[in-house]
Parts: sequence; structure tokens; C-alpha cells
Amino acid sequence: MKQLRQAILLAVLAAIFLLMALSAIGAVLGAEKARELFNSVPMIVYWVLALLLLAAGFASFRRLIVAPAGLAMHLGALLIIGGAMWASETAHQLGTAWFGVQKAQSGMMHIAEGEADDAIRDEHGEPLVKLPFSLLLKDFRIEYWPAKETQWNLFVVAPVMDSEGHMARHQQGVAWKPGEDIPLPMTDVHLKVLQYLPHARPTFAASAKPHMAITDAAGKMLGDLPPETGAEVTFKEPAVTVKITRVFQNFKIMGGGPQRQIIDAVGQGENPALQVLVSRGPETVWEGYVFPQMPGQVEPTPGASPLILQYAMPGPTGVAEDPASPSPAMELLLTHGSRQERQWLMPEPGADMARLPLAPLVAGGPEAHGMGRMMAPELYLVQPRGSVKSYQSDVAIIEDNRKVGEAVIEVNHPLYWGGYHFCQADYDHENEMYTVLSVSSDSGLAVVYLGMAVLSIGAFWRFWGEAVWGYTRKKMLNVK
Amino acid sequence: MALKLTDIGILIYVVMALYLAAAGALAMRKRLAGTALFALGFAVAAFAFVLRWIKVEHVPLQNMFEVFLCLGALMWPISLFCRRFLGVGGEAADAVLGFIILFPAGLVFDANKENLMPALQSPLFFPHVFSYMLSYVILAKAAVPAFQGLFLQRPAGDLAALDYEAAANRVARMGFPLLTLGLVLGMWWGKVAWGDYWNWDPKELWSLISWLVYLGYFHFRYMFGLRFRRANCALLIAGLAAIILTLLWVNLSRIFASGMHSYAS
Repeated sequence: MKQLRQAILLAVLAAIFLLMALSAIGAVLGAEKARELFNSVPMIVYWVLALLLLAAGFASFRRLIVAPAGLAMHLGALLIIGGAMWASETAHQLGTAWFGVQKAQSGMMHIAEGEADDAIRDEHGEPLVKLPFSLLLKDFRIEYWPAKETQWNLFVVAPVMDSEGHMARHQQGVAWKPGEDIPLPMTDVHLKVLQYLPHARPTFAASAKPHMAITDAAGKMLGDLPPETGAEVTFKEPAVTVKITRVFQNFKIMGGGPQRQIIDAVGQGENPALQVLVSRGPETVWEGYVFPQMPGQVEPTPGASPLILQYAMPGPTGVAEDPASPSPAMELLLTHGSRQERQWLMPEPGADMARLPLAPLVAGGPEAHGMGRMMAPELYLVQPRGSVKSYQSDVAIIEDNRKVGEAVIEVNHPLYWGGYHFCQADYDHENEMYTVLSVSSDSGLAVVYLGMAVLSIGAFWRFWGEAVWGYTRKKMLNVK
Repeated sequence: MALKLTDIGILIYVVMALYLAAAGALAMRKRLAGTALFALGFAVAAFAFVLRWIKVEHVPLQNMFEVFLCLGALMWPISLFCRRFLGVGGEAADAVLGFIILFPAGLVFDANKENLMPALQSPLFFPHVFSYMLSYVILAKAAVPAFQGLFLQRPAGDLAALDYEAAANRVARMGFPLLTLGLVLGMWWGKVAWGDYWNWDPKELWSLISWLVYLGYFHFRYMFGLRFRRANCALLIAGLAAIILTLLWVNLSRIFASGMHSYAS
């Protein structure tokens, strides 16, 4: 019996040493190759032998069963190894092959704002397992730490043809100093910053504030609403109520078909709009969107003279310094060939960027609506920002076309649903429009967590317990 | 290598000087002066740690500079605890250890303030790292009598009843549960943050190796007792070597391929 115990202990020492050596090799190989190494067939044999060694230990060393601290440590180790094997890729594949269990060990999901996905995919986007529910990304948000610099940055965004003849919009930063002549990349435009006011606000002529004008077909003013959610006015003739139900800073349609979502991509551009409801009592006469460049036309009753809803956004008439304003204003002199233009570039209050289309200057005329956004070069004044503070995916869980749950997923706060953990892993760095979630199975989770707790408690009990108890007893008995 | 002429940098140099002075006084058997200097060094180091906490607005355990400042500050409390509750001395060596630990913090590592990245914004951040901080200092202290035990069997006068090997064992027993806790908290955090308890990246593998060395030490000592005293001591020193590799080499070296933990730029 003693020889058996000696043999087991020698085997334990050999197993520990072997794992140490393999780990050192794994550290040189790097995470991916190390993972393959430790999940390979020879290593599976090692792990099984390790479990058997632990079992043999319980069988031959009475102390391991009788003394609770030692028992806890060894049982904890057994649970961790066993649970981790249950959670492994191999175990999942065996589960599918032997028992037909459709569960992926890990994968990812790549979801764009306003869209949903119901499959766990591999790194190529191919589905590994279909889920009985889908995740809809309602909103993706990033919060940044404040930047160290305060001066805003200039960027040019312009279409560039690549070597295969495809047009793509490229973005390039422009270093600037006041008074310097700067050629803008990807365009023939030259820029000179005449003035930079770090804290400024636009000044409007007293009458020129954004508002929604309601007129009749002849242009006679019937009413006026400020662009605020809830603003409403009721007319006697025609007998309707016009109410603004939502104000958009950057109206965007995401996705298509039944999954079409309308969102306000605040801070990523300017496309102002108003969502308007025209009603007669409880009955909806018209519900739609009104844009500055596209007024709404409403027939209060079929065949009646229409009401025109015009979202008027008069531009600022000037700029004033305002120490309380977080937004700057930049006066530019733009030159293209023989054409020159002086312009103010200023963000909307609260916005983190301002946009100046260069198309009018380049094309030689007023901004042509026909020239698609894709083709027009633009100048952006962008607020500097620090590193990412947090990024969150606001998701809804959809089953049979019904919302059965929702969650905000961020790093360190995964969604636990349907036997998987959905963790915030990454996101679209260019446009911040889609999220990347890493998905992992919960098989063996409880066993591993239990093992971890038991191992830790056992360790403190075993190595600190006796000492603490002995010291306390000595103090209590007042023995020196 | 560069001098840090900031408030915290200068405080660190003061602590280093106090630790050296304490070591000198203790080596010349001036116990009262030595202990007072050592304790004063701790007070200044703790103050620097708090200053840093206020400056970065989160627990200052994010980069190498902050980690080594914390380790250097913990030296005196651990030393005191070992003397009072474990009957293990060697404070002069502890003060020298503190000086050595603070050297890279004072002269090498970058002390730039960094914002806390999303992955580190978790209530597990502090317990995981701090368990490791405590265990590293304790196990570093254990290596000192272990080193002496390689060459001697009885100490030269201080606490004659306690053998170097036995002293090292007592301190190692104090540190090992904390090392285990750090490892386990890391696994828990990994599952919550990344979806996996373990990524097999170099830092994790070296932290596993460190834990396995001490695991091997305790099993070896269980099996052979005091028959191979020097081997026992050697294992404790190997453990510290693994810890140093876990801390330093993996973060800074390009020899080991990068993984989730590499904050080296």
C-alpha cells in the first residue's frame, strides 16, 4: 500500500512537471497554437490520466477524504478539469456526434444596427448552429473618454477609384494651422483657416429659428410649431391636430423589408427630420416624416385642399464667441481653380462634428441634389476624442416574432440566454454601425464554478486554517 | 531609463532611499532605527499609491508602473506580519527586496496616465490583481530564506529555533492560497469578459506554471519531507523565477507571441 502511495505521488510530481513543460512550450507558440496543443488527442489522454490520478489519490490516501481542506482542494481540481473537459470543443463535437445535441462550443455573431441574426457563426460568417431565437440590434453605442487635446480635427471624405475601377469613400485627416495654405487630399481644393474660435455659437436673426411651418396649398401660413417632441396645434378648419412625435438629428433607415428600422444616428452626420402625426380625434389622418428639403403634403380629408408641412431650418447669420459653448467655429477660405469661397464651419449645438459639402465649390454651382452623396467630396470638422470608454449593444431577443427579452450587452456584462453567453467582443471601427459578439456555450459552467470555489476555500482552509486556528487558540488560552 | 521628476516619481525615490537606509540600519543591528525607517518608507509609498489613485481616477493597478509601486509598498506590511504572526524575520533582506522592486517603477516603466479600457471596468479587476500583488510579495519574501537554506542549515543568531527551510515553508504556505485565488478569479473574470475561462495565452500559461511550481513544491515536501532540504528551497526559488517571468518577460518581450494580456505597445 505504501508503495502504491509512493507511486501515485511520483506520478503526480511527473504530471505536474509535464504540464509545466508543456505550458512553457505553449507560451512560446502563442495563444492559438497553444490552444490546439492543449486540446489535442495526446493532451486529452493526459487530462483523463490526471482525473484518474486524482481519483487514485482519493482511493489510497485516507487523509484526502477525512480532512475536509485537503478533500476540498483535490475535489476542486477534479471538478475544474472535468468541467473544463465538458466545456471543450471536443466534448461538444462528441455530443453532436453521439447524442445529436446541436450546441456550438463557441462562435460569433456579427449584427448591424436594425438587423437581427439567429445563428452562431464561424469567423467566415458561415453558420455553425441555428438558435431557436434571434438577436435584434436595436442600437449600438460607443462612449469615449475625453481627449487630451482640445483643438478639433479636419477630415476630407471623398470618393476614390481603386485599381479595379471601384469607387469607395475614403477618409483622410488634414493637419491645419491658422493662416496656412493647405491643399486638401483627394481633391483640387485649397483651404486656409482664417479664424478658429474654440468656443463659439451661431447667431441667428431673431426671426430665423428652426420651425415647422404649416401652410395651405396657396402658401398662406396656418400655424407654426417649434421642432420639439410633443409640440402640437389643432386647427378648426380643417379639423385636424398636427403633432410632432419625434425629432431626428440624423434620420437613417437601416435594413430593408419587414426588418426595416428607422433610427436617429446622432453624432454621425446631419439629416434632420420631424416625425409628424396628423389626426382627427383618435383617428390618424397621416403619419410621416418631414425633411427640410422634402416638405410633407397632407390631405385632411380625401380630395380636400392639402396642408403643406415645411421643416424650415434657417442657417445662422453669424458667429459669436461664447466661453460657455463646447463647440468651436472655423472660418475657412476655400479655393478651387479660380473660384474662391468664404465659409463658416460650425457644428450644431451638442454635435461632435460639422460637415461642409465641397460639391458646390467643385461642381461650380449650387449643391446638385442629383449628385449622389457617394460622389461628393466633403470636409468635416470633428471633435477629438480619447480612447473608447465603453461600447454597448442594445439588443432585443426575438422568438416567433415576439420580443421575449432585451439586454444591453457590454464588456464584462454578457447576455446569458438559451445556454450561451453573448459577450461584447468588437465592433465596426470605421462606421460604428455593427457589433461583434462572441458566443460561448455554458456546458460545464456550474461544475467549473463550483470547482473554483471549492479549490479556493480548500486552499485557504488548508494553509491558513490551521495557523489561524492555532494562533487564536493560543491567544484564547493566553499561552505564549 | 529616465528620472521621473514628478511628484509621485520623487516620492518613489524617497521610499527607495528609506528602504536602503532601513536595510543598512537593520544589518548593523540597529533594530529600532531600522524598523522606523522601514515603516516610514511604507507610509510614503502608501501615500504615493493614494496620490496615483486620485490622479488616474481608478484603482491604480493597470500598468507595470502602478503594479510595481503597489508591490514595493506592500513589502513592509508583509514583513511585519511574517515577524509577528509567523515568527519569521529577515527584515533587512525585505527592505532590500523593496528597493529592488521599486527600481523599475522609479526609473524604467512609463507612468503616463491611461484611461481604463472597457475590459478592465469590472468589480473583479481589483480582487484579481490585488490577490496576485499580495501573493507575489509574500512568495518573494519566501525566496529569501529559501536562498539562504540552499547554503546554510541554521541561521546565524536570529530566531535560532527556526530553520531557513522551515521559515521559507511557513511564508510559502501564507502566499499559496492567495496565488490560487488570483488564478481562480482570473478564470471567472475571463468567462464573464471574454466567454472563456482560459485562453492559453503566454501570461496565463506562465501564471499557471508559477502555480504549478508551488503545487509541485508542496507535493514534493509532502512526499520527501525534510530529506531533500535543498531541493525544497530550490523549488521555492524556481517559483519566484516563474513569477518574475509572468510579470516581466511576458509583458515586455516579443519572444513570446502576443495574446489577450499583452499591453506592451
